[in-house]
Amino acid sequence: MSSKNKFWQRMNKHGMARLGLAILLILIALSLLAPFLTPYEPTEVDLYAVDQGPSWTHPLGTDNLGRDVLSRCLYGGRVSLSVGFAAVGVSLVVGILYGASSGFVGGWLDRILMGIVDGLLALPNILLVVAFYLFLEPGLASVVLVIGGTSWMQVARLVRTQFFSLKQQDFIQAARVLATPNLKIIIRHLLPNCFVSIMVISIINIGHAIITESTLSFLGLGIPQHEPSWGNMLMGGQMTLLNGSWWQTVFPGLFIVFTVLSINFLGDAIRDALDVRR
Amino acid sequence: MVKYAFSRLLAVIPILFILSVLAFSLMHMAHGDPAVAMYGGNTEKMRESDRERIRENLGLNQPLPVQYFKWLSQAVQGNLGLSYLDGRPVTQIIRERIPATLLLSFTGVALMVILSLFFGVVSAVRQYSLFDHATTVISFLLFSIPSFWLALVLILLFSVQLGWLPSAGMYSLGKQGNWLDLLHHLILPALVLAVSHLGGYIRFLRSSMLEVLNQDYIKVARAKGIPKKIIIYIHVLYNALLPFVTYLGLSLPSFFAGTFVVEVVFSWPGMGQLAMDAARDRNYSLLMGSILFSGVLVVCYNLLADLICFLLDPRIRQREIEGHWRDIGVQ
Repeated sequence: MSSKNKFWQRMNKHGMARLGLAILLILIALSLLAPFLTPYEPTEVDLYAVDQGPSWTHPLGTDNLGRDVLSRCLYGGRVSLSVGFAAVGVSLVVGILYGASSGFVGGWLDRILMGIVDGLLALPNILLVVAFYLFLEPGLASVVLVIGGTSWMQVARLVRTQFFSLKQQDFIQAARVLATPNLKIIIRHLLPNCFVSIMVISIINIGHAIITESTLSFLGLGIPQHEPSWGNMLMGGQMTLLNGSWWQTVFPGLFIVFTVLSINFLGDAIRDALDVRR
Repeated sequence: MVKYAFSRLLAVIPILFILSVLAFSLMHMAHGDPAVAMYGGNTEKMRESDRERIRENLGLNQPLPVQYFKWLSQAVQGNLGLSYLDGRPVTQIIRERIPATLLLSFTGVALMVILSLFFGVVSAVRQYSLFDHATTVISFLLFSIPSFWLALVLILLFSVQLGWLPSAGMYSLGKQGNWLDLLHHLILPALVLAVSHLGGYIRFLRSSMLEVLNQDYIKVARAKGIPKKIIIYIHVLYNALLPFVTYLGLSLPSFFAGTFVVEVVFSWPGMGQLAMDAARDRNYSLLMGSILFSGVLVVCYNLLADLICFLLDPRIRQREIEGHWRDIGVQ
């Protein structure tokens, strides 16, 4: 109980954490409440209002098809945020299973599995993402799978390292002596002790996943064009950038930056708060 | 030295093996018929037997391990097959693109190292000063900015609004080979590359500087009355650079990924643009070649970083000598 109190004390002291959480919650609320906040549909084309700058009717301007940038940003947030969270979910499942088997079994299996991880980490991530993406039909689910499927390596390494050090400790030895089934040792004793570090790394990974999604969509390899997402909007913005239509590039980008920034604040603060060395 | 280099080289072999298997299987598991890539819409009108012949000519009807070893023996000789799209050798296409990528990434790394040295050192020396806080905030911000968006914003500022710098390509029309023109085109992409990765490196250098500052030998140096400047720039910086070089080597894959995206935004004719085009065209042989090449390049860089660390850090050399003694039975 007392350690829990201390945790919240430290979290509260950390103004950045509160700020990060607040911004993130606001962004989530904005994207959830999008239909009530803007009168325009995100896909509503208005060819009489093409490439217009910010004004009272369109606070963030319109794009090259006359679609309202604000409503596209809000609806785009739904796509980008859910891709971020879902992709991290996928990476957690893969990473934990992989790292746990590598760390628990050890020996030659561990050497092979970690060799594969090293090989994957030696590649520029975006190439891996692009190559993997070619297997799948373009779509939201594929983007989630691809980003999750290429970002689990750190989680796997972490779980594996933790398992290795935990296995040496007395309570695991004791569980062994008591003939506890392996699966139970893993689920009840080993995994709960990795929970904290997994959580920290996952929060930071959400930010990475959102950036990767926007990069993929920007390259035309991510979310299908008709769906609004921040990366898609930036791809469209690039085409009109040289005409000076800055609002189509600046605003969706700011949404990405604020989202990732708030997530990073939060992750950093949680890491500080949980740091046992303090 | 030789022994250390050799052991690092041995450690790389499994990585290269996995890389090759990965590149190979990617190409073979990908759906999509190479015939479609070669002949586009005309494939519909083809007879089934003609399609079969194309597959046979490409060797796609043999068992996978056979295909892998055939491919590998060719690959180590520098033959990565032909591009599906224009029939030119993949190695040749990639070779044309490598200089541009190397130029961009080296300039980017150099710029990034210079900038991070400046910000990292000053903010560590003046810990908790205004400069330090500002640097922390900025590096946090840089963490959260996608590099392609930074590129777009800088294009908007310097190319569209101010008209100072070109927004795309390597040379202006008719100025091929003019190095001043090249430099002019290089500024923006290299700057984006450097700045978008700066955050992590500044924070890393700052914390490793602070760690060294607290070491006993620095206190001894201070007690001996060595001028502060010499302590900081020679003793502290030198020792703080060792983990920095290792970190640089480890983070190169992500730096390379950054190069690829930046190349696409600035239409820089390097390997990144090539790989992305190959992906969009479903030109698998070219994509596989690019993946393999960039993987090998990253591995080489890592080896280089390891060797630099070995040359810089007597502790690693010491460890090797001790290991050698243990090998010959001296305790």
